[in-house]
Amino acid sequence: MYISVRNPQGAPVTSRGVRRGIPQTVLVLGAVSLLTDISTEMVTAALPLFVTVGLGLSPLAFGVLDSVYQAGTAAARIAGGYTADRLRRPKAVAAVGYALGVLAKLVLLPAASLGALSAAVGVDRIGKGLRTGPRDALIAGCSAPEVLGRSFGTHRALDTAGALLGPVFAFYLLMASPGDFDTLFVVSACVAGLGVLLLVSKVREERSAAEGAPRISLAGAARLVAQGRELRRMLLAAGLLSAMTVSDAFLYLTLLERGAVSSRLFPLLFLATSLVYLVGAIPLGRLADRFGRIQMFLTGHLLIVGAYLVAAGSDGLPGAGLALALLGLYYAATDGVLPAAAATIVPPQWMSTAISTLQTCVALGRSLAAITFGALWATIGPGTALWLFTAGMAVVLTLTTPALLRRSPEA
Amino acid sequence: MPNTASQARQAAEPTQGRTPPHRSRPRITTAVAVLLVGVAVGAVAVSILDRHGESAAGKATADLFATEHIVFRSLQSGSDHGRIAYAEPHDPTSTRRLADSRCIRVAAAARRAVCLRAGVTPLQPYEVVELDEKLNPTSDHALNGVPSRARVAPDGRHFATTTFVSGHNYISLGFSTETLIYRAGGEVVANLEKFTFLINGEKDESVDRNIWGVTFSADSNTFFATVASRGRTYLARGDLTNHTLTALRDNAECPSLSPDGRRIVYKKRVDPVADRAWRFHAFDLATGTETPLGETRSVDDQVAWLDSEHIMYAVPKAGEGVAADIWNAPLDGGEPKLLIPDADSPTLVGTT
Repeated sequence: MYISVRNPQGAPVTSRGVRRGIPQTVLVLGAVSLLTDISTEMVTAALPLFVTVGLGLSPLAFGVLDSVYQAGTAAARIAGGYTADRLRRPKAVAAVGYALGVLAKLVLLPAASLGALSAAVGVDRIGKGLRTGPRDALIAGCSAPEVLGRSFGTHRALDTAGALLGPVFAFYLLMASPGDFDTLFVVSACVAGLGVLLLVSKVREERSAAEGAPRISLAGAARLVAQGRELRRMLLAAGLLSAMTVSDAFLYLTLLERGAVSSRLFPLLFLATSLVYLVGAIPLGRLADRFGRIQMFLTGHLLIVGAYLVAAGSDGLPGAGLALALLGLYYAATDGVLPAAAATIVPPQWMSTAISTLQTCVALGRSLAAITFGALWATIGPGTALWLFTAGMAVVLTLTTPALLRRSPEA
Repeated sequence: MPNTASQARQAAEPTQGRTPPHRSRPRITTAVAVLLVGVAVGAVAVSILDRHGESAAGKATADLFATEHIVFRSLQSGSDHGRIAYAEPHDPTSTRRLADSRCIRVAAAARRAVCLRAGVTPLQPYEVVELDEKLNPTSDHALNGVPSRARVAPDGRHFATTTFVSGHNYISLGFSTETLIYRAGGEVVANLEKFTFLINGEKDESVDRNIWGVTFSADSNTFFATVASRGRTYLARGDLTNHTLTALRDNAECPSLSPDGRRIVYKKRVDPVADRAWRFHAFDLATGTETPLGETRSVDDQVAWLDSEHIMYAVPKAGEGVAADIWNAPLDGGEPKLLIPDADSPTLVGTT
C-alpha cells in the first residue's frame, strides 16, 4: 500500500460523498479533454491536405516546423505547472491553456499562409503545455488516494476517445463540404470552445489540501527536489525509461519494413494502438490502485519490451497485432499511472509543478529517443536499432526498478 | 424581465470569487453553449448548401481528347468547387466546361485521366480513380497518404501518384512520400523507394530516401522524378525495366519533361526563406544548361507543358485562403500571364 502524504488531511472527496466512484470533476475534465482532442485532432488530420492542396506547399517543409516547438512546449509545461501552484489556481491556468487551443484554430481562419500555420501550431502547443500539469493536478486534487489510478485512467480513456473521433469528424465534414477548410476550422474552434466552457462552469477546484501551506517559490522547488528522494528517483527513472522508447511511428515503420503489415494497413496501426489504450486505461488504472502504481508503471515498460521483441521477431499479421496490443497496454499502464503515482508522494501545493516536470522528463526523453532512433535507423538499419533499444530498455528497467520500489524511510 | 441578470450579478457580487458559483452563471453558460453549437451547425449548414446547390457539371464532350484541351480542377466557389474542368488553351474562359468528378488532384493524357480524391470511409481517406475518355470513373484504388502529385504517361500505358504519408502521431508531424507507378488498370508496377539510386555511378545506401513528382517520357519506360537523400534533392532519370534511378543534377524538384523530350522544367530552391524558396528553371538535357524562368513568385507546383515554349502551373491567391489560379509562362524568361482563374492541377490533352 502507498502511504500518502495527504492522508493526514483526509481524502478531499469524502466531503462530496463520491468516495468509491469516479469523482464528477474527473468525468467533467475527461469530457473537456474529449472535446479538446476532437477539436485538435480534426485539424491535425486535415492539416496535411490543407497544406498541400489548400496552401499549395510541400508538407515536407512543414514537418521541419515541428521540432522547433518541442523546446517551447517543454518550457510552457513547466511554466504552466509552476504558475498554477504559485497562484494556487490550477483551474485558471488550465482554462488559459484550453483557451489558447481555441485561439489556435481561429488563427488559421483569416490568413492561409505558412506563417499563420506555424503561429497556430505554436499557440496550440503552448496551450497544450500550459494546461496539462494543472489539469492533472485538478484530477489528483479531487480523487481519493485509493482511486487515483482509476481517475487518471478514466480521464485518459476519454482523452483517447476524443483523439480517435477527431479525424472521423474531419473526414465526414470534408466529405460533406469538399475543400472547405474554413468551416472545419470554425467547427473545431466551437468544439474547443465548448470544452473551455465546460471547464470554467463545471469544474470545482478542491482547495482544502493546499490551504495553509506556505506560498511556493523557486527556492522551495529546489528544496523539494533536494529533499524528496522519491520524487527525484521518479523524475530520473521516467526520463531514462522514456529515452529508451521507440516512437510509435518508428515501431510502425519497423513492422512495415519487416513485411509484418502491408502499407494498406499502415493507417490502422495508430487506430489499433489507441483502441487498446482506450480500453485498457481504466482497468489498468484500477489494477494500479490495487497493486501499486509504481509496479504498474514498471510493468508497462516490461510490456513495451515485449512489444519490441515481438516486433523484431515477427513478419506476420498476428505478431504485428500482438506488438500493437502490447504498445497500447504500455500507454494504458504508464501515461495516467505516472501522475497518479506522483500524486501520492508530492505535497499538494506542488502538484501541478511536479506533474508538469515529470511529463516534461517523459517528453524530453521521448524526443531524445526519436532523434537517436532515427539516426540509428539511417546508419545501422531498423532491425539492429530496435534490438539496441530493446536491450537499452531492459538495462534501464533493471537499474531503475530497485530504486523506484525502495520506500523512502520518511514516507 | 430585463433586470434579472444584473440583479443576480449584484446579488452575487459580494461572494464573487471561487466559492459558490454565480447564480447568473448557468444562464450565461447555456447562452454561450447554444451560441457555440449554433455557430458550428450554422457554418456546416451554410457550407453544405453552398457545395450542394445546382451544378453546371455534365458528361465530358466527345472532343475533349480529340482536340487540344487543358484538363484542370475548378476552384470556383459554390457547388462545382473541386470538380474536373476542361477548356481550350487559346480561349480558356469562354470554353470552360465542367465534368462530374470531384478531385484533389487531376492529371490526364492519351484518352485517360487519373483523379486523386477523398475516399469513402475514414479508414481509407484517399483514393486514386482512373477515368475514361468521358471522364467516367472506371476503377479506384486506395492511396496510402495525402494526395500530392499525379501524372499520366503520354502513351497512357502508365500513371504515377505521389502521396505524403504522415507519422500518425500528435507529437510528430514528420512526413515521408510514397511514389507509385501503375499500369493502366491499376496494377502497381513500381514503388520508387525500392529502386536502386545511383549518384555519380555509386549506389546510394541511405534508408531515408524520398521520391516524388514523376514525369514520363514518350516511351513510358523512361521517366524523371525528384529523389531526396541525406538532405539533398536530385533530378533523377528513372528506368522502369531496370528498376534504377540515376541522379542527373542536384537541387531540382518536381520535374516536367517537354513533349519533345529535350527539356525539363523544375523548381529549384533559391532561398532558405519559405516565401521565396522556389524558382522555376528550364534544363536542356543535351547541353546541360539551366535557365531561370520569368516567374519571380515562389511557386510550389509541378508544371505542365502548354506547348513547346510555354509551361503552366497553379499559383495560390495571396490572402484569399484556399484559392489558386493557373498561370502560364514562356521558357524565354518572359512575363507570366494569367491563364485560367480559380483553377489548379492543369495538364494538356489532345496533342498529336
